[in-house]
Amino acid sequence: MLKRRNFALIVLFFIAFVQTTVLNRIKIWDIKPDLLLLTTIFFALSSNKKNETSPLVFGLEAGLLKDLFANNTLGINASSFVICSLVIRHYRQRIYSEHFITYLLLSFFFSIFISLFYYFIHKLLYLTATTMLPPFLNSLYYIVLPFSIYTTLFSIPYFYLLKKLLMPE
Amino acid sequence: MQDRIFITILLFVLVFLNKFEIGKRGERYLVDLFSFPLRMIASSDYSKGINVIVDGRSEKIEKENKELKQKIKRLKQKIVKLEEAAQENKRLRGLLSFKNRKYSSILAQVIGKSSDNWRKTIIINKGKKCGIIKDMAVISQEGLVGRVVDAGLRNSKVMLITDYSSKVDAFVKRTRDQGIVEGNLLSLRMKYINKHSDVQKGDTIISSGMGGIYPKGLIIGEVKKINKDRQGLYINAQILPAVNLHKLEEVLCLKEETLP
Repeated sequence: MLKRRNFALIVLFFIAFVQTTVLNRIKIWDIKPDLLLLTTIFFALSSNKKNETSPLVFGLEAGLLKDLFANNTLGINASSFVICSLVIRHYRQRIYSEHFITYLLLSFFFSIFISLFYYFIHKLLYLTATTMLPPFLNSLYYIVLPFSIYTTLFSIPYFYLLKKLLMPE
Repeated sequence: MQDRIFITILLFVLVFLNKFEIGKRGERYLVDLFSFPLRMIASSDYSKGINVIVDGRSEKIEKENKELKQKIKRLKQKIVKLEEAAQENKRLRGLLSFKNRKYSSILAQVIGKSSDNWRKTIIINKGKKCGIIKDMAVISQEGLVGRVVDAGLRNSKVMLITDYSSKVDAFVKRTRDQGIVEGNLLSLRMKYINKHSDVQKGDTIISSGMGGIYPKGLIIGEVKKINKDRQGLYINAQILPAVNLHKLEEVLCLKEETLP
């Protein structure tokens, strides 16, 4: 159990490292995909037991790492990632995870969810001059949608790689 | 219970990493660690395998060859170091050419970027200990970069001029028409320029010095496109930033000196 957790933590740190360094070089329109979110989705889908807590802990760790590496308010991403894991765990039995389309749809849906979650929490809690966010439609066209599409497209090779590396036949 | 303890420890470790820049050092170690297999593959001694040399002469040649290869490696490393030093020298000379009687400057290195898509911020390696305070203007050799929004003890957060929250009072250098330059997600936009202004594509935009944060005369960028606002009361201009904000390495934080 502890060994598995340590391994997950090492994987997360490595992904966070890639997210803050290498991914800055493949930005499109100043937008980069979210590897930590994709890993959280993958991990939540891979766990089969209904009441298992490890996907939630994994989501929390991934979100906290994103908050810290993004130099952001601690907790916003952690909360949204845990909600993503919770939703997947709740509907786990109804989701057919053997097909790549499932991963694509979930990546798109949760990318939009975490972006909107960030936007509305920020609008509600941090309405100050230095933390202004663009109007909703501008955010949607220039940040939320490009980010979601890029993350979804990126998920195809990324999930394939994760499956090959972490879940050998 | 175990989960809670684990999460608490994790939280402390991450805060610790963030606070004392250990994360950055860790990155360097990781880069070194991950490039090790590549270095192994690149090294000809390993790729060749073990050579059994019978002849004494060939042994001597082999030894000499090995020594020369080592020498070449050392010299190559030296060249890379010298090139790096020359580039740094060039950048720093450019930065030091910025002189302003009223302002003293603190040189800082960019150590991180926000991994968030919402914010356009960078992290610099100087904080309160070196005299950095909130709302200091930050420049590079090409022009204005942004301002300090959060000064930590050893590092600070700088909001770039392209951030949506950023607003700079500026004017067109040639016509002296005033306006406000603000971040517009992907570029900069200058608003509220007088509708009778003769502003043209290619005009340089500089800071006006109003507001007390940015000194007067810092280059912000040049006009890329001009259009009228919806009501037709003002002219809006799309600005191309003078600084390549994606390739920042060193910046200067400007500190206003109190005159006696």
